[in-house]
Amino acid sequence: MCKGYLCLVFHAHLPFVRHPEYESFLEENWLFEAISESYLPLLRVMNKLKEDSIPFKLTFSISPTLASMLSDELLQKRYINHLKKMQDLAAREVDRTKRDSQFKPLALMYKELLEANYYDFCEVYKKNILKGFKALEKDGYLEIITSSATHAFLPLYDQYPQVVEAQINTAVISHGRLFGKEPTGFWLPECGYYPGVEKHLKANNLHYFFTAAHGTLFSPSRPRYGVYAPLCCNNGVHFFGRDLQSSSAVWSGQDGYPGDATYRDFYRDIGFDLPLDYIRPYIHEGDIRIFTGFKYYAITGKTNQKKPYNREEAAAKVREHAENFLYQRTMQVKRLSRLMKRPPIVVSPYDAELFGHWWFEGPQWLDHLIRFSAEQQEVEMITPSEYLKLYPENQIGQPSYSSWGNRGYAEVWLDSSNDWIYRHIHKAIERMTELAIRFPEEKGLKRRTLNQAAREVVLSMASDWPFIMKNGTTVPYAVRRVKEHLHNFNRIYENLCRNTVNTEWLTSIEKKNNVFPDIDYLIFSNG
Amino acid sequence: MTKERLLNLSKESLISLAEQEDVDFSPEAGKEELIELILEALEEERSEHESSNNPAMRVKETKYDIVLERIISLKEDEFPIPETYNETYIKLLMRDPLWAYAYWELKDSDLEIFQGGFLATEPFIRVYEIQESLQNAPVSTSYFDIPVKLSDNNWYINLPRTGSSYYLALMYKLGKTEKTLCTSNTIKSPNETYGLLKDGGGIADAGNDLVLLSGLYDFEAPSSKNVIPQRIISFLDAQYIQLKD
Repeated sequence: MCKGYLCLVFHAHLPFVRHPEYESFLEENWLFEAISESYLPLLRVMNKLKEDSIPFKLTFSISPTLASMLSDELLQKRYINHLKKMQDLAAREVDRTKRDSQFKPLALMYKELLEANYYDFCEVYKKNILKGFKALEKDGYLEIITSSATHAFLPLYDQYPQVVEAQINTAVISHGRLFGKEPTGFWLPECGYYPGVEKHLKANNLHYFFTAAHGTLFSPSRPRYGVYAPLCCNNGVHFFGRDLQSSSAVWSGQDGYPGDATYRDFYRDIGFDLPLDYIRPYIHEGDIRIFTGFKYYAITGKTNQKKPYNREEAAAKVREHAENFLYQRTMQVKRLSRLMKRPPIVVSPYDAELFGHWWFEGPQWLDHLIRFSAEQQEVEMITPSEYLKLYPENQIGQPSYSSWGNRGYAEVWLDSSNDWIYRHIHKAIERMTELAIRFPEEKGLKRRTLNQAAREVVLSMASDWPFIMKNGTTVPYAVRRVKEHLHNFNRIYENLCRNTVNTEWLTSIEKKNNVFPDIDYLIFSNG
Repeated sequence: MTKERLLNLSKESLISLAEQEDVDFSPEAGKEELIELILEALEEERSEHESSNNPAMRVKETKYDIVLERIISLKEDEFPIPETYNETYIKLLMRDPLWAYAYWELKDSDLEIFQGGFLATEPFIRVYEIQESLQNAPVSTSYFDIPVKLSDNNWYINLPRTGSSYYLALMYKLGKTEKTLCTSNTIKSPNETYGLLKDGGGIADAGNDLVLLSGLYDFEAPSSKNVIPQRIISFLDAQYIQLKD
């Protein structure tokens, strides 16, 4: 029997960004970059492991907005266009660097990566990469769970149980439609927990969720095993606490592996380095320079004088780091198992986009880690459901209000830069609830209108918008998105108060904001 | 926004940008000077954000980074939303165990109380604190007042204690009488304490060690004294602890 378990959780999420009203749209690149740099490379790693008969168990939380975008035809078509444009740039880069012994291999590397992406996306997955995740789940390698419908930070909506119910129920229905099965677990966006949210998880047949370390540790009854065993809420829903040591080894750009000088630098990109005349066709209109993904330098140090990226050196380092991570976990479970009557579970959740997009070598690190894990018996990979099957009886507890954001609470999503949104979103929730109660049995056009109103309310709640308002570079877009959804909702509300519907306008916003086709506005009368 | 982009903007646009960024500039400032000041302000803002973010949030930022510098929009508001709803209400949100955020509004007819010569004082917020026993039974209620102006509509409130419940009343005085305009929802500030190891189990005395190994290196048993227990901010942000073999 193993001494302990490692539960790696990859949370994949992007907000719903889809702009059919424009030929191309800058923020749609979030999705395209994540597909190219994280999701497809991770799928390649997992499929190669499977092909090599290497056992592994991973948990993937794929947010409902991301899953919807990955299965959206318009965005799939646009991703192919994006890939073709990048392949064109790759060809020009190979030519531009043909006499440069340091950069030419890198240009070739990007060309090959893009070719692999094109082949996988078009030929292997027939434009829908969810198929790749589903197949791995079917074969028992993955456990795929869901998150709230639009990744709302739920503690800031605790006074509106109906909208929390709407976020969770819509997510579960959307997951069932896109993955063909009910999710068993739930990723609370930003690990944002407030006492009582488990009631909605239970109502939607979800068996477990994750909390920040202090969310578990500050349970009213002290967790006997710290964060190294799940606890069970009074209603039977389990929760797993995040392990800080293994998390920081991968998250931290300073103390963690991704900050190693050998690894590829994220910020140096030819989109900013090369002359405008050359790069213009590949950046945004109006000569707005953007990341292209072609990055030729290593992190090197805290200086602008970067060394060229050396693939072989980085490959050696990533192997070393995977070995070190496993060694550290082995030591950790040895220490823990001396204090526990059962094997500890070390839960390490990460944003999936960290792997490949930010930490270029991340997917290779995962590959090595899994291969090394398969060669030893002390630390075994496991999913939360499997652990709960082995150990169904757990200490009763209740997490404390918490998140994994700065200082552990809500300050990232409630700050002077973004606090103005809550007054308006809360009002929209109250008005949506009023509509759901006033119109309990609508059919046809009126039902469509009410469903779109519900869609607009949940879209306005995405945690991404306040996050970007506080931290991001695309603040005007985040502000515009919150206002757009509130504006649409208010217009519907006013129309319904006058008993009118503008069919043409309704159809246009239904086509644009087409997420959650099966949303039911009546969910707002529950909770 | 890069220097390259700023150089392409007109002086009027640069002034508008400088105003948006709260940059102090003299009316005689030329384009070059404005650009330098704007870039300085943006850089200051960027490093402030970077230093206040923990590793998880820093990585998350890169997910949304398509450009290197913050995009600033000079466009008109495309999607107007109402500024107010002509209703009287006050709401309370929890930001962290010691800070809450309140927002409120007064409907026109309530505003008239303060404008129509009724001798009403400016409004104030009464913060009610309900201290509870371990069994969540209320043991005492106390309050303090925060004066606000008629023009205010939101406020961050420093909570005196973790572990208590709080709610607000938006009030005013008419002569010697206190009148309540509305009351808020109740929030409960998290305790930030370790509970008692109620049901034994595990290995003798291992409970503290495991909590320690879970990331709390300065563990102290909760005291019956009314002290704010150690907060875990420092290591949550550092998110790195060294364990002894």
